[in-house]
Amino acid sequence: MSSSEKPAASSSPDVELYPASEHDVHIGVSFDTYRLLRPIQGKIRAENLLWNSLSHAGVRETWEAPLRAIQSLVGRDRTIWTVVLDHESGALSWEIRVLNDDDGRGALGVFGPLREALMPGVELPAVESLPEYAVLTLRFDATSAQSPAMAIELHQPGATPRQMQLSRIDGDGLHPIGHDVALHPKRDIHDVLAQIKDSRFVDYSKDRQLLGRALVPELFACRRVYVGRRDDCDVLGFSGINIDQLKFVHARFEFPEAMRAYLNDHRDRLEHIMFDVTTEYVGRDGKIANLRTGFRSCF
Amino acid sequence: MAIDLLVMLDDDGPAPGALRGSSTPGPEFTPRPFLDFCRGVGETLPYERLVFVGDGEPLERYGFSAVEAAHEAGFRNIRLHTRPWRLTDPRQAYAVVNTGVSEICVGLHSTDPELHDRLCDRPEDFRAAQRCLRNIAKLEAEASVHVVMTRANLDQLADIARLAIESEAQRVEFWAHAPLDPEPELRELLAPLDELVPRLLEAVDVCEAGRVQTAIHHVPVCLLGRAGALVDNHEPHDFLPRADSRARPRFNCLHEAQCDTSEICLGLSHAHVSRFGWELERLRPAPRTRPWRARDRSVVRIGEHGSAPHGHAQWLALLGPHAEGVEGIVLTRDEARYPMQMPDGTRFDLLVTARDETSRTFEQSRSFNLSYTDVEGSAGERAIATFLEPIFRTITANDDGTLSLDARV
Repeated sequence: MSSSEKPAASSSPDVELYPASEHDVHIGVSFDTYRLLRPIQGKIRAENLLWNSLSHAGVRETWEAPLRAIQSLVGRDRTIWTVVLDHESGALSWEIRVLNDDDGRGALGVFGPLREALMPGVELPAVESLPEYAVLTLRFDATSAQSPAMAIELHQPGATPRQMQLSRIDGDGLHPIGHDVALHPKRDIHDVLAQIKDSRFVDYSKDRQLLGRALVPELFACRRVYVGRRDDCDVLGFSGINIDQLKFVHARFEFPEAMRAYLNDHRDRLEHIMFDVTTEYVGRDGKIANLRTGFRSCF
Repeated sequence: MAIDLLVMLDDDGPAPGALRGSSTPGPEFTPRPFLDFCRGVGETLPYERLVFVGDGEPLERYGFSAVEAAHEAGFRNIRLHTRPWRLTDPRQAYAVVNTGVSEICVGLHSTDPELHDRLCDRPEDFRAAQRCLRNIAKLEAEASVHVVMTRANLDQLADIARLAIESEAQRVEFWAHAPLDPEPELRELLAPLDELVPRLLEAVDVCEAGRVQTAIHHVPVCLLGRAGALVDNHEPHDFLPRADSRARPRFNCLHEAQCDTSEICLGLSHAHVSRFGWELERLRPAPRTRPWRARDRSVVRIGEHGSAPHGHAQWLALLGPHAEGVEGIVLTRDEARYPMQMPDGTRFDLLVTARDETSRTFEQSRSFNLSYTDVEGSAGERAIATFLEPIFRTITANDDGTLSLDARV
């Protein structure tokens, strides 16, 4: 681990917990800083949830070193992690976001040194050049434990200051996959509703209840809503939710029981942190069908 | 400000707004902290009313001593929420009132005994409620009838109001059913607004004609017309805060930032939204005449306190002349929050917590850590620090150790 402090033993002798420290910074999906909700005495870092999810899927041993390498490269608390649950397969996958904010990194931006840090242990797409981008996303899942591989995505500024365009990168080049728009849930509600209803996947005019199922009331009270469009689904992100909302997400979206128990067990030690949640969905048989749901913080 | 302090003696008694006791256990009540609280209150009572809730063994063990302690501390407005079977014996009802309880809240959810008992999930509760109301009518205490409006009892709301008036209740409170439990049976009881509102307005007319006080909880103000003035959504402080803040129903409205009544209206319960949607076509937001700001959850009744800053005088006095610049105070066990706005429109909460050397903070006074949080606007940290500097200086000068906050987090 790159951080200087050692993980503390939890009540369970098998589990290490990384304690919160004065140096912790908490960032949301747009790399904006969240203030602490509680004093940090007795608290633990959000990254414990990441390591627990990897342990739950049996791939912590595979991925801890690469993730620590990323952390070492970009700096502590400058990497956003997401734990994603696929609702159809029940499989977990992960997403790592880093900001491409250093002009001195060459033609590939932050991807260049990241590739050097991760290879040869982790397979990455062969990319020779990249357009200008703001954020780099690396994705991996538990199936690649034998031959670790990551897919990459770029986030580029969109048509408006609130919009980000997303593209997947592979050996064939850049493939646009959608966009996200960041809005204040209450102040910008007209835009939020217009963006949500402008959907290829859900016909909200057919059933008034659908909006309540997509724009989940328990998460509406958040800092920012991210309304996104993908090739195969719509996306809603709720940025700046508290620990109890995260607990709600674990229950509502049926995260594995062991992960729910872990969150419940450590709820009081994580209540100082704000988290982000994202869910991908389509309309199916007159209902909202959630395809994937993820929760985020940083390490 | 919070008007009420809610003291949950146990989870068996139905809390305000609930049909039944809570299915999720809350923190255990032990008498010592409450007795210490009562001994510690000064001449200026920190709450207008104490609300005790219980129906189990802790109520039996600690109820009388807790009420006695509150009465000795100077509280004269003490409400008891319990199940009516506890007060069907006139001697028991007399003993409770004689100890200091000034108001007893009785659930009455139907004029049909069978339906009432089913809603409460308690056989014979209806008959017990009637006996209980008769007993209270003979005592120096007020009876409040507490009606949870569900799909099953909408047709009876006016008749329930008549029955309450006949039973000499002084106050009738109508609560929109807002279940926390995922149990389908409770979700099925949620009432559609287009059916609920006309029946509620009929019942309000009955109460008005009968000259009993009326309050409406958790119904959108924009649908109530003149009766919107009866909406009372103030949220009590918990003496024993639950670890999970979602242990109480939560509400939102998509029109909040556009609606002029959003400071007094909570909107729709999350359970209602999940079942019926956000009701965008039905709600009628009143166009705002003032800038919108994020909601302070301690909502007060319309016309009760006016629009001037209000709250605990001592906590406002802590800010000296700067109290004029805050929009009230949200006081909980462990923090005091003062919503503020800078001249450039940037908004934030000035946050006062118990002094703690180990936590990150901006400034410290004798008793407190002083910081700010929830910034909305363009001002940077330096500008906010400059704005706050004289306020922190005043708090530090005024903090003489007489105010305190719980350091436990």
